[in-house]
Amino acid sequence: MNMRNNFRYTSLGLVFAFVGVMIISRVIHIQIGPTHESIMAFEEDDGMELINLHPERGDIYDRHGRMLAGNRLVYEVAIELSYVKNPETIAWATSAYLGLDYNKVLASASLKLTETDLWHITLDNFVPYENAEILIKLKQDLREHPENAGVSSNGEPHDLTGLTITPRLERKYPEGQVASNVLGFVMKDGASIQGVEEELHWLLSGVEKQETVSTDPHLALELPETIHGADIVLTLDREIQIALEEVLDAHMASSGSTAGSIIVMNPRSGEILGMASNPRMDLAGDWDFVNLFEGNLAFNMALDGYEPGSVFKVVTMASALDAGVVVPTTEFIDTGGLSVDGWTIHNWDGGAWGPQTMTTCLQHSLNVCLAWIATERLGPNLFYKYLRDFQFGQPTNIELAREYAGHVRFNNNENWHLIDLATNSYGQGIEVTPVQMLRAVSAVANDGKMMTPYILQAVVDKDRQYSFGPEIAGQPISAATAHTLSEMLAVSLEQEASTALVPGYRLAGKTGTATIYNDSLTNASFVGWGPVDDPQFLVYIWLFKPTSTPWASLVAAPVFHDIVERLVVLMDIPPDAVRLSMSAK
Amino acid sequence: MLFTSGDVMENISQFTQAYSQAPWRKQLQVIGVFLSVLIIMLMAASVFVSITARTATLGRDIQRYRLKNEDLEYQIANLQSELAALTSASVMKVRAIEMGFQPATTDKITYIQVVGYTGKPKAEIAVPAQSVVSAAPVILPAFTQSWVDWLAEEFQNPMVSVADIRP
Repeated sequence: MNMRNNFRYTSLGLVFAFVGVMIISRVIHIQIGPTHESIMAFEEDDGMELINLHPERGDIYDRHGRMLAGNRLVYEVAIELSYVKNPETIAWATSAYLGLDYNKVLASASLKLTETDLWHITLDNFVPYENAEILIKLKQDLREHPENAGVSSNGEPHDLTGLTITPRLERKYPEGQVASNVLGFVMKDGASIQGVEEELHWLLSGVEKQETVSTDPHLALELPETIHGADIVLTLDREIQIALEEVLDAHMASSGSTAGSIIVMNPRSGEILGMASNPRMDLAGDWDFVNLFEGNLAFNMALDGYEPGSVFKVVTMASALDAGVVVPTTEFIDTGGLSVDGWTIHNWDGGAWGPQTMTTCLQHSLNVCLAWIATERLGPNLFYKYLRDFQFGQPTNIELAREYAGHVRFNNNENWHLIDLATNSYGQGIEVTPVQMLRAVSAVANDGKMMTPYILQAVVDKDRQYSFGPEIAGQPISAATAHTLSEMLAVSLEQEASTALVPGYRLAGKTGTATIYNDSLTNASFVGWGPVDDPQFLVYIWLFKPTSTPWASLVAAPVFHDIVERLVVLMDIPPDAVRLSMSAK
Repeated sequence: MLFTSGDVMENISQFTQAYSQAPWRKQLQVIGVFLSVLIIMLMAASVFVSITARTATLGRDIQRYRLKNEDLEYQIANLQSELAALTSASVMKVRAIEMGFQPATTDKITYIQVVGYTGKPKAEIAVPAQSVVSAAPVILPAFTQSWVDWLAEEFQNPMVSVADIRP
């Protein structure tokens, strides 16, 4: 009995002893085995690590969902000093595959934590996918097959431990220079410059941050979420945008203009369908921002201020018709000069055009006639009341960065003189932007309702699309005035046999040639819309300092013609006869 | 018959001895109790260690999958941009010309009225926000609620109401 019990106790004791020995040997193994280093490293970091949350910047699409700005995969290559085993291998690999300076990398990788405050040294932030893949594979091979690694000149085996290759995203513009002046751009350091990129940075950027997080797997669910940027959809139509840029580039070259802009808007809604500007950057290539925009040229000419010249006569005539101080048949005898405040106003050709109606005043773009309307019929109070109603001097708040508000010297300004009223009536002595002009003239093309120009069609955030609609900025003139003026401008173009006309389509429009202060060159502009009975596009053209001829009727009107020819195809607008016969059915 | 105190003590001692266990048996009992407690503690510890290890493994999986997810998101973004570059206007124009297409001009177009055609649709990158319907729960409550929750729910929403039982 006792013998049997002793055997049982001995067996039990041996089992316990065996288990004890196993536990102790495992403890020793952990202390001195291969896992020792990782545990020690974990201990040194107090179980915490610093992570960079790189959010995905939101994409930008055109109105039909075609990508204008996206992201491409690049890699950040860096050194984690606390993990570096062989600085020579790191220096060799990065110089061989990334073209980095061997000695500089070697010096950085050889730093001891006691010698520097740095523990993370970035070598290159934007390594292309192809190069990064080579480094990733090399690092993996050296880790998995150290026996094949060989040794470096310092006698240590090759090892890339401590070299980190982390994926991140970089802005990419797949359409190159298309709409670059609208989009703006993002610098390598993440700063967004100009255009939508700058104005809507708060929407697009997401939340980039650096956080210290626990490496404890039990706290995995407490890892911070990366908040990505929202995607945005613009009202731009890629095809219309390209057409505008092609036409603008061609006419700038033929007219010898320094810069220029063309905008196309839907006058019924205020949607910007295209906004071309020259010069512009090729966002797919190397950016030469400073040289391209030297001489204070605006990044987007559509947002820059200038003296518009005779296109402003549309606003003056709209005001006079709406106030009831003139009608289309009101007679005016043009003597070739009008004395105002001690100054004499002359026509563009210096001539006297004799008996005129309001329609022919517009047709021949007579400064004297418009100055007479402003000074003798409207007067300063009414004229500037209408300018306020048309919201000149106020930005349109279109979703583009750095929009200029323009400058109007109103009659309550102490520096205002009566001559300002006369010159303002034909677009001199007043500073407006093409977008402001578009907003004002939309009232004429849209039954008196002035539409706010907008370029942001929708925002897509967390898989939900939030769409935006038209906004009426005001109604400065009545519908009847708008119809009357549209008819007058259509007749003006037809009687003038303007080069702006397009066969089959009835169009309304007005040219504008403005002198530039202290310069012999001019600003050539054109504003027009069509079809007159059902306007679907409103076009504004500005050519800055054309050298072939100063006259807008010769340089800007043909631009309108070429644009309308492209627009009617791209927007599926049949000739008036076809459209009206279809409507009749 | 008289009993002395010595007799009484002897009787008690004999009585106690008769009903008491042998010393080795007592030792065995103590050892048994100790081992039982030890085994229970070991079992509890092993269950704890097992669950902790599984939790840690799952935590590591979560960390790994999050990295993988981030990597995939980056790759998707990269591929979308590549696709956009491959279908960019300039590339498509070259392809169209290679295939023999020419730009349409006003004099070459024949217009046909198509009833119901309202033109090219606007982009819908995602579901419109206003038409979002709250999604039904993916996991049924039976898989997530505790027994107490279930019991409380049953009491609050009995299948047969009291009114139905009353005569």
